[in-house]
Amino acid sequence: MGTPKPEHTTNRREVLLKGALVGAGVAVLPGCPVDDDDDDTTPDEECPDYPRAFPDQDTSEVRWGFLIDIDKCRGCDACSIACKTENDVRLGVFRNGVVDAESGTFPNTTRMAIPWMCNHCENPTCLDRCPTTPVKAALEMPDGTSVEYWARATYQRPDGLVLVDQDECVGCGWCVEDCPYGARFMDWSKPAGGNPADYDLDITDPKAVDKCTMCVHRVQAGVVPACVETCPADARMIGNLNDPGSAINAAIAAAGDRVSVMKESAGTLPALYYIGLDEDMFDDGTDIRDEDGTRQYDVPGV
Amino acid sequence: MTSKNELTRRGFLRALGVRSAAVMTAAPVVLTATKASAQDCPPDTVTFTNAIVGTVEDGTGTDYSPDTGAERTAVPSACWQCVARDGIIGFVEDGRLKSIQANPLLPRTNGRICARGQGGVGQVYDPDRLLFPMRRTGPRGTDQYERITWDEALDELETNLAAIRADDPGKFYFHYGRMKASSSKVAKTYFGPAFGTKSFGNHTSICESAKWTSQELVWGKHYDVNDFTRTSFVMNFGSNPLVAHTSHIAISTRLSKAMDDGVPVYTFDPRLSKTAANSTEWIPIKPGTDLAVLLAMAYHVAANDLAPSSGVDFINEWTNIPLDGFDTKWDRLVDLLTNPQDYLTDFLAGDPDAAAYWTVDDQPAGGYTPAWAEGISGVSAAKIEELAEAYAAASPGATILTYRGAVMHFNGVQTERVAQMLEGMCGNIDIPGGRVFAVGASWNYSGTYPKPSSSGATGGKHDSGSDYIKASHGTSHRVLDTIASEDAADRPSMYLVYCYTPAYANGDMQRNIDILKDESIIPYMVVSDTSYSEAAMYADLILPDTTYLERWDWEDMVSYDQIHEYYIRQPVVTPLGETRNLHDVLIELAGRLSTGADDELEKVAAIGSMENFVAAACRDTTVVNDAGVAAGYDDGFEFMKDVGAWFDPDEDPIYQRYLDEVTLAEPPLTMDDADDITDEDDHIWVDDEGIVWEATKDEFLEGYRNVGKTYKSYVGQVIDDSGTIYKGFSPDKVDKSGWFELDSPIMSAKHFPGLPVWMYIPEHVDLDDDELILTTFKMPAQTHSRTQNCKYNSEILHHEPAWINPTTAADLGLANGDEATLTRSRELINNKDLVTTRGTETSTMVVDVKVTNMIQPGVIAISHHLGHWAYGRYASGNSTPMLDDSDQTAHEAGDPDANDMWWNKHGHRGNWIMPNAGEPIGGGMRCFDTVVRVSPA
Repeated sequence: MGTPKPEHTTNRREVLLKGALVGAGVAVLPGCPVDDDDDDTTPDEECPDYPRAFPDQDTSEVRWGFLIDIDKCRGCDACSIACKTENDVRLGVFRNGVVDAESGTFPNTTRMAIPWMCNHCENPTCLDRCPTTPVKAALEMPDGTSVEYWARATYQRPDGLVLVDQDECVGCGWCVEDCPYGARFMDWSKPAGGNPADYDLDITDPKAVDKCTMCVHRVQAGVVPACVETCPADARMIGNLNDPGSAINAAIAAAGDRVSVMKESAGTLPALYYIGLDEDMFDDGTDIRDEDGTRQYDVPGV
Repeated sequence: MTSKNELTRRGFLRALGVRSAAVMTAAPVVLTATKASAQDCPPDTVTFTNAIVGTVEDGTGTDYSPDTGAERTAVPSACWQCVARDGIIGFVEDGRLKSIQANPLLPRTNGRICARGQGGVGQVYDPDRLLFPMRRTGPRGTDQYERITWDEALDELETNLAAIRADDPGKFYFHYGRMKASSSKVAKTYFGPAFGTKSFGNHTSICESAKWTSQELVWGKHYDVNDFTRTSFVMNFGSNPLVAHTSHIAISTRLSKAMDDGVPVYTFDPRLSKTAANSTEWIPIKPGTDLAVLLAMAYHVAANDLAPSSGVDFINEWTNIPLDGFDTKWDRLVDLLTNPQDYLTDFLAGDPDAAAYWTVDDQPAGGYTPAWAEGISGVSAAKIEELAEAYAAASPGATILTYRGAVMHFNGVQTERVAQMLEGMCGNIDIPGGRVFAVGASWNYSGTYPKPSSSGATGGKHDSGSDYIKASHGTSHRVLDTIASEDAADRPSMYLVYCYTPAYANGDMQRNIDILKDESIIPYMVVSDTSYSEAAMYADLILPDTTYLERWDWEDMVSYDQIHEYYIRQPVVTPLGETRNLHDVLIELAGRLSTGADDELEKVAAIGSMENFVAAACRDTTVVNDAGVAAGYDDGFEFMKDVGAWFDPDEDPIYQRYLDEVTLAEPPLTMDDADDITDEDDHIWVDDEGIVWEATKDEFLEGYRNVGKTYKSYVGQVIDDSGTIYKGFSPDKVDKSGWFELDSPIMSAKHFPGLPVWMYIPEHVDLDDDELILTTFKMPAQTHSRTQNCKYNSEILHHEPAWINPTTAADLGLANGDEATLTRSRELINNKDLVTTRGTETSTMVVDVKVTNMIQPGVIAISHHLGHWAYGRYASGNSTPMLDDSDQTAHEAGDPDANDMWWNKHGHRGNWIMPNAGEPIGGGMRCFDTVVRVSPA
């Protein structure tokens, strides 16, 4: 065969930097300013007419949550490959994965498998700098009501899912930078559908951002995401956080103090909950990002 | 409604909205297609809409397109990424296989499949798939082939096979790796006998053959199942079942559930495997010393009267332990465990020839105490006592899992025998929650089985089974070596390889390669494979096989619910290129080779095709056909094509079949009746061991164990004065009684003690400071050798350094990431005579090391899965040498990633330096006994 390609991380990083560095002159939309790094206020507050995050998460009929039980997870990687096949995720990029963490000194050694994916946060920082023009969209809830929301290229639906419209994405990469979990990536294989020039961005060959969709195409049809469907340990669960009687709420309640979210201090209010997560192990030499901020992909699960 | 253009422009979200409107509740869709410019205020009109159900289920057997939202076509079938063969559903979109899930109608998977099964899509669209027959045009191993037609390939096969059949049909040697159920039936029960060859080789001796040999010696038939659904306590020796097992998902889902329910699980392993990490406790153990720990647990149970009464009863009622002057068999067993030197003394007195290896002093004078075992294994005596007590207290209903890491050692058969003994002592044999006999499907086929052709059957298996006490599962790892050592006239004229890579899978890899390249040893080699494997690359003729997702089978893998589970494999997609399943090829060849209506090959040709074979089995298997008709189908085949799997939900799990009573029309004859028998007919007799068997008078007088047809003649077992005939622990491949034979006459006849005793690993004694034991380990996402061509599997696992403990690494001057040279430093004993027969060979490899606290000192561990040098780009970085560029280019286009592989490391393969040595009893490869000298490279 031909020469194996170097790891895509290099290419991805180039794309990302171009977007981030060249896109200094951002168009300011009337009444809807784009956030910048020095401004702690969220666009939602500054731009109530076109909120980035869906404002009524707590009262929405459905708000999807996800629960990963680290105590049950065996680190078998079935979820990782189920996601890849289900969504045709190309080589070099991952929508989810399992980090293999080791600690202790022989024979008092422990290891932990820590699955990661998009946290589908209630307060997603990844929405803050999307430069694209919002459009009005609607989601019909199970009770038949149609709930309207504003969608930029990256957006949050009334059911809590944080999604990317790759046809509108301009490939600036800010959302990839802003995600504290490293859950987003530039998909080297997919051209961004939006035109960066529309937003005074100069990006050569822009690529679309991609991430876990919580298998929205399956969830909308009433079936669990592929990673849940395959999990041999029953360590993954999806459910309606706004339904007091849902199994996910019961599981979260039953686990008590063992429930936590990743990087709680980031204030993102993840919809991805963990049982038994030891964040120290996650951060101790097994952080999902390299020093330059790109995700470590070549982390074999054992 | 939205227009097609809008759908295209807007992409999947809007498309989902359309699907929602059409399929689910009515929903408004696109109201405007006008896009706001960046300078305008956003339009206050709804641009796209989706609808949600609001609840989600699993196990629906459905999947949907992320692009269009449309439901994908579901085709039930069966996995074959490994031998676990789970029931699956393949999901197809526009004729292309997109994803795979478990078939929720089959209990074995609990609705789950593993990472390997998920990645199976990559088997079909492997850009290095073999798509058409190829004939070698250059020297072997130089990748020079020409494309030929199937007609040319079949003509060549027909010509060669006809000549072999006329000469000596046994010179057609068929070597397979994984061939089960209907595929095995067609090749081994139909084609082989009809053609006239018995020359079949498997690959069990590199897998877990020592386990099966041991089970055959003790309880007759092989294949145990640990009943994790009902167990209360688990000890795991040498297995990583939560991420890798021969029945991986069936076990991992049940064991996971047991763990979640609080069942204690203790894992003995030199390495902190993922199973060990998830266990109640990881107990590091020196490789090859599991036997000592198990003996010490048996000692502790026996010496302290910890066994439940059902266990004591089982030993007394069902084992063949000799009384040797003791009141009960149990008492004799206790004395063995507490005073093994006396037993060895008596044994050697009775068999002086056994003194060549067996010495009294090798057995501990004070018995197999936990303190003795601690000195050998590194497992503390306190831990051994604690777990022996906990296991006994949880019994009956506790179980011991043993697998390759425990049994593929010099002493592996003995280890498995002691595990069975301990399970028996605590009453856990074949009861709920214990170690039970497996149950598989019982397919029927009304076709006529061919009689073995009288013209052939002269060929050998080319294995070296006679070097061992009872190589009941062959010695496949030595086949090439054996062929090389034979006279040219005895070697196979044709070596057909199917789903097997003899060069890669066995030890002494360079020697395997050298033999395969040598046309004077292997004159004609044919390989049926899906990808350009380390077998195909040495073939004279390559037959492109279908993947498992493109072919037919009925399946029969054992149930983990102790019921009969029927399921089939059917093509999920049309076979790519010109690929053909080998078994369809065999059926066609049978027709070509048949010399006329009386030729037994006609019965093979009459099968017609694998699809016909599966169809007939679905109709001929009454329970399946009846279920189909009851469900409104024309017959069982139409039913199974639709659902893929069937079981009787009312069937009770099957346990303790050994207690089934055998009813005879007349009482069996005894020695007293012999004088009255004057004919030469078969009669049913009972002998003084209580064995009821069918034999002529002359055979009976010669003795059950002496006439060579014993397991075929076995009828049942009488265990007491009641005369009741039980099914017993009936023999399968070995000549044993219906007793639970903890005292093995087969072993004692070959100068091995009949009762289980300690065997140390001779080559592990007095290791130098730089000598380490080489062990291998299993990881998720890959099988041993046949998933690395699947891109997603290799993307996750394509390289793994050798693991070494920090203390050991420091002693050797190695740091994390360093390269180390491993040189095999000791030859391994390779026969029942317990002497090294081959000269010392130097064998060296270089690895990079991972210094980790997840492995114990004194060991270096290499992943079991990697180090391909062929099998396609994803496995090895090397593409298939395709000769028709346009076809290959078109195929590569079917995998959008074909030229985007980002990794360039492909792991290490310990088999380069492992010798092809077999353990003395069953001949199984000593996979975990190699000793290597380690130094910085």
